[in-house]
Amino acid sequence: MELRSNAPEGPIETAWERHRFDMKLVNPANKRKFTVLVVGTGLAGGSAAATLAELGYNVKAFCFQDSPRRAHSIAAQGGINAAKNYQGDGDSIYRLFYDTVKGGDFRSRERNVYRLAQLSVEIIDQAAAQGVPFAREYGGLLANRSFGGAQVSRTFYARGQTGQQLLLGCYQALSRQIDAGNVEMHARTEMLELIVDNGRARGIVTRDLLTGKIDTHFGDAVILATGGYGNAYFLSTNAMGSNATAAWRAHRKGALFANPCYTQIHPTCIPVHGTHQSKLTLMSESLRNDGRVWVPKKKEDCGKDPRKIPESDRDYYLERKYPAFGNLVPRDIASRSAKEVCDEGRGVGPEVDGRRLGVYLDFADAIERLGEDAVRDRYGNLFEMYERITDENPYKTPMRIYPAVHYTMGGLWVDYNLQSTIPGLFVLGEANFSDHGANRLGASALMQGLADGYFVIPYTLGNYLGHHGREILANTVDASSASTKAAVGDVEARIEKLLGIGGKKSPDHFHRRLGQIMWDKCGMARNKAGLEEALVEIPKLREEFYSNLAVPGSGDDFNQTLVKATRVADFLEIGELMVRDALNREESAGGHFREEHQTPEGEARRDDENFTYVAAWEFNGVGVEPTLHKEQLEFEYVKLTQRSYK
Amino acid sequence: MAGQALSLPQTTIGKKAIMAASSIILMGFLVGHLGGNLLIFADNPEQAVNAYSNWLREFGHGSVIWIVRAVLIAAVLGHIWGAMTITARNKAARPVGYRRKQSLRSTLASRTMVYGGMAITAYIIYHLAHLTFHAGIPGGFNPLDDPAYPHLTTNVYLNLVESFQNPGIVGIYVLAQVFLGLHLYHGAWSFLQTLGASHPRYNETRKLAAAAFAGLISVGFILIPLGVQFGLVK
Amino acid sequence: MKITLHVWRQKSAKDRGDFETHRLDDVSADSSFLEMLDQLNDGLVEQGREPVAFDHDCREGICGACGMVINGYAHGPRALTTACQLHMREFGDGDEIWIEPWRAKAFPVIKDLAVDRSAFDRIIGAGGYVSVNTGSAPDANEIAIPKKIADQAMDAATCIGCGACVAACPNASAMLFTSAKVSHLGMLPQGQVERFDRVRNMVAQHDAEGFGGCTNHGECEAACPKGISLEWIARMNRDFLKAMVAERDTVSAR
Repeated sequence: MELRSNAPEGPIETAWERHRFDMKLVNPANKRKFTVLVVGTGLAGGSAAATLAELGYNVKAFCFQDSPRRAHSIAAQGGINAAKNYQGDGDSIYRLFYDTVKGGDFRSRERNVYRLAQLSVEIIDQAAAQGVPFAREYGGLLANRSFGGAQVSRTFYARGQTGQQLLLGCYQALSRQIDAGNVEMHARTEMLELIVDNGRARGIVTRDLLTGKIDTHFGDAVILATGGYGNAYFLSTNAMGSNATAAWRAHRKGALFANPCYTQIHPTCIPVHGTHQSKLTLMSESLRNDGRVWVPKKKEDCGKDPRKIPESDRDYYLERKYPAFGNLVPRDIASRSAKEVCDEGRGVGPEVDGRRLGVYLDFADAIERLGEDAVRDRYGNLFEMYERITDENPYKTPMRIYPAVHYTMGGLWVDYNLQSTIPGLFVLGEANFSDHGANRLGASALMQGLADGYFVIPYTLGNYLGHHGREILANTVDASSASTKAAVGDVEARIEKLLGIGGKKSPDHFHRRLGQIMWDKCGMARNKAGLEEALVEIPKLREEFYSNLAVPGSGDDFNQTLVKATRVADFLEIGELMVRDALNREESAGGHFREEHQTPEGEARRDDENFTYVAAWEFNGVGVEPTLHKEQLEFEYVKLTQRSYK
Repeated sequence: MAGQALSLPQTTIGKKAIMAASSIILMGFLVGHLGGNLLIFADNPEQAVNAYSNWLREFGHGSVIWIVRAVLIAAVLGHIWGAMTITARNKAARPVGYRRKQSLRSTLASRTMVYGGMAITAYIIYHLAHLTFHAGIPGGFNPLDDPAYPHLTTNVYLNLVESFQNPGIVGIYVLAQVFLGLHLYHGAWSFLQTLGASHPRYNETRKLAAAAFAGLISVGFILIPLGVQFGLVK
Repeated sequence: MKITLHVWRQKSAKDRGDFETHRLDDVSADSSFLEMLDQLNDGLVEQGREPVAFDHDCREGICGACGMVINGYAHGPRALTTACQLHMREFGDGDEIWIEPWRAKAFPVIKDLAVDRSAFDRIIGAGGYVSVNTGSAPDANEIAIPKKIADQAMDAATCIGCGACVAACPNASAMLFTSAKVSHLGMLPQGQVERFDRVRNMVAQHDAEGFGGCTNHGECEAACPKGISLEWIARMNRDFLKAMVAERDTVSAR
């Protein structure tokens, strides 16, 4: 299979504009003839569903939550980047493009990223018009802040709830279309299979989570906007329901999965408190602006009250190793360094499974320098959240933090039109692999989700239907089609199988164990031996899952254990692919750090000669080695350089 | 999406607005009524009270009292209608109650508005039977035929004084005023909230003013039976 | 710590439902309330019994999915905290804890502690938006908005749609929820065009869903995990009465 990006040639600045002109249009009367299925209603899916309905398509939207307003986009805190240059501080579309490509460690497609930077400005206009209450200056104009070490202030925000406000704006636009009858909304509905007919994505098989009813929905194109697969690690900052099933099912049906090993680990999360922990909570990275990270020099001090450990016995390891950037090194470096000191046995906090996983983030100096009030002004709400969760007062005793899985840069492979390798299957937002390369910059996830949904898919979908609409309409797919029957039969068999195992352990039990393998062997730092072990352990765990899983209740009502089981079953397969990809990528890039590939100083070392490609995997069966396809990446505008934060 | 147009009384806010608007009339009445009744503490109470009663019936060739009565009856009926429909609606909105439920912010007054309202309605009937229709409650009717008060057939002053010699009647009146006070304590700020007359700067004042109003009205009214009972009326 | 749970169990909307008692002997004070329920459920699953159904998702207090009445308090006894952010250290060793679902006609029970809150979506669908199609927006800085107004709009917009206001309200009224959206959009310049249609249609939908009316108890404000103010209800009343009484060109209701 040859992977073609379908990105327009020629000057990058006008690529999208020229592409838009070259695309076919669907006239308004014909739009009504087409039905589009949108799975997932977060920023990407919600904005796509609303916009396509506004344009006149028939849209059916699906989400597993009880309302589209609860998609996990809602939890994004920090902000959204846009190259508005309202602050006049030297920002531009080109700079945002440049920063994103570089931040992604040169593993993304230049033309996609450039378009993203271009569209970023329209997103802010759209959101403001919807009534999103962005932060403002006293003069009434929009406020910006610098985020994640960016040298310009290009981040727009609504307190620490930017994701919430953007999602509500998009949910409201969607609600308007639902009320107008242009979108048929199916909440509490999970997609369990993709229907591919005659080589095109034509429908989905869903399960109504309340009644257990297996249903089919048909359309002329299918859009997946189902988020990332970070929950393969069990513990992550993702929502409990976030899952990879829709994307994984599409992968099994022929969509290539790109760069699954690129996972972003966020350094400032609240550490695990015990074995019953269900998820991790992120705290804004801005804490590192004033907090100092340290651990005790001596292992014996790790259980002590940190306030009683003298200055001379503390190791401010980031300041020691990276004197220039200190506590402000990028996410991946901060995360990895924390893991290193904890692996040395110098972690702090309560012991969980015999290990202390945490490092101090100390504000004592900042409080002495600025006063407690100034610190409260800057971080009051974060300190409050920390105290609520840990019952420790960070004004008095140092915070404890530890990295956690936060975002997955990998996803289904898509071309410039956001179309996967299955014609008619489009993938948006975190579910695709497109724009962030090997590492995503802060405040860029919201930007990508909305750019895809509001401003890319409405054009590229029209182009697809303009070209192939007639052929699609001529080929009716319904419940009696062989492809549908096979897909429904497969779903029913899976459900029956999960219900019939009659074992002893809950889905969470297996999920937790999978997470442990993933975190230990395919987490912040990976090595060949560990990855190879994981390749043995995961299939074993999968086998155990299918022999000892307990799912009480039946398949025809609200059975949350069954729902969980269907998701864990797919995580057990995607986990293996992540490991394989990590094993294949014999370099360190962004969120993927291979211990074998580092500089003598312990920095990530890319191998541009051999790995400047997107690794897109083709499914060949469970437990069967997948086929690797490569999309070579060209860097015409941004010169390949090695990052250095010394 | 098209649907039928709603009129104000059909909506929950509309019903409450009707209750709020009627409550303004009723509160206005209470102020006037209390003002008149406090004449019982005048130097010559019999003359003051009876002259005032006579004047009420004479004012505007006797028409004003009927207009006032009509407005009051409409206000009471509107208030009761609003209360009944909204209460029925609110009860229906939670068909299965909580086994355990704690209150955080509601007050005794807010939670007993309906019961207080019913008690006050019962009291109004009693009060009218007692002093307006003279339905045989002890001391409630003392005939009067005095050319100085051409519009009076009964000695209003004497009716009060004789009735309030009876501790049972005093008890009923005092209890009713306690209910009224509680009702007003919630109602007098609630009507502002319902009509949207709020402003963060005045909201605390709004509550205090309501409490003061409720206290003054109910204490004022209580003074009358108690004053008679304890011989403070000259 | 050891605790005794009395959990509401109800198979479906039609089932009558009752409390079921469970004892947990090994609960960590650092667990969140929902992690405690996970622990209960894991045990139940391993005994082959059906776990307690409850909605939850982000567990960071922002998605609004979780919600249950804990010992008589919506989202539990701690102010400004969702059930997922409540921690077991708020309870004492040996405590008895009663857990009930949100109870309202407009929120029918689906199973155990999970209820159907789709009425909220329909209230938003009735007018909780600014009718602006994608692509037709002017530059975001074209309209300046006083910081104070933007901040207040944000205060109202912070509602997470969890339904605690309905659960806590003695009348099962959703006025706090409705008013938060009416006020958020009604305060901003972008929301002016549809301001009076919006309030009228949203209130009409609120009523059609079978929620009770507001009688100004203030329980909603106290229970709200995001601290949405009663002030918004007054503001909505103001707009609504104006829409019904004064705005003659907007009487063609849904």
